[in-house]
Amino acid sequence: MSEIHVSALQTEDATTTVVVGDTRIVVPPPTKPHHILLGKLGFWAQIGFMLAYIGVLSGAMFYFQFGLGEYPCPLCITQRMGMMLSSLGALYVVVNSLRGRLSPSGFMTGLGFAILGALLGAVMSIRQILLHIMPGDPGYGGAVLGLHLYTWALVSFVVVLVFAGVLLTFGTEFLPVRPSSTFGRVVAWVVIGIFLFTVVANLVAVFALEGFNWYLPDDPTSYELFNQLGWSK
Amino acid sequence: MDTIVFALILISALLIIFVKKRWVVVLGYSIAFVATAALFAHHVTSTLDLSF
Repeated sequence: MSEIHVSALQTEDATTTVVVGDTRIVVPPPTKPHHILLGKLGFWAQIGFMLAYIGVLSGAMFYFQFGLGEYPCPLCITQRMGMMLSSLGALYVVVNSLRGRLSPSGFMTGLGFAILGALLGAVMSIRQILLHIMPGDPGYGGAVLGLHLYTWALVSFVVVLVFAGVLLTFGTEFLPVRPSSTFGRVVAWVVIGIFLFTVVANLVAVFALEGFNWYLPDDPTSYELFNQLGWSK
Repeated sequence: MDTIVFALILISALLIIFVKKRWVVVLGYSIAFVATAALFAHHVTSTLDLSF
């Protein structure tokens, strides 16, 4: 029995070409105003997803870690990784949409990345919440609006799961359509650049915290790299 | 290890941006995902003294 190859590709003019074996079906770009609107809404929702996690990651790093001088615990660091893994889903959708090659199946891949990252992050934050759940336990680190950062992390992971669930429920209705204006596309690439910078900044910060050790201590009290290099006072 | 995992996540992001083949992107993401899960597993050093 011969295999039938099936593929789909969204081209520069938002036309989707579906190839089934030797048959090529050209699906025209959405023309109804509400389809275009939902597609654009879908695109900017993914950008919003990335911006939200850039804000959370930057707030944790620049305000709590550098501003207030709190040292992140190993579980806090792994939750940052969960947020980044989840954001990679939005990155995948946005990049392929901007390049004009986002197929419905590619959209699903991006949402899959987001769900898997959020599930892993949720497991980590639930573990940390349970570590401090006993009455009288002060928790780890500072709190925002009465909740510790790992609790907010769990809230964010649940929001991602709901976000991806809603998009999947609507099938391809929210299949992102890239912005028609150059300005919109430049803004999207700038957000991608800021996301990459956030990952690099976290990499450098955790290297300073961990130094040349394999793992972080359970309760970090200094930047180990500076101690190892003899730069600490 | 934490530094390496962040590097893997960065590589995964760069693969998403610069590589067209989906299996390469999925492979990069999978490696970063498993490395993060393994790091988390390493830090789970004790059972919780709780009953549910």
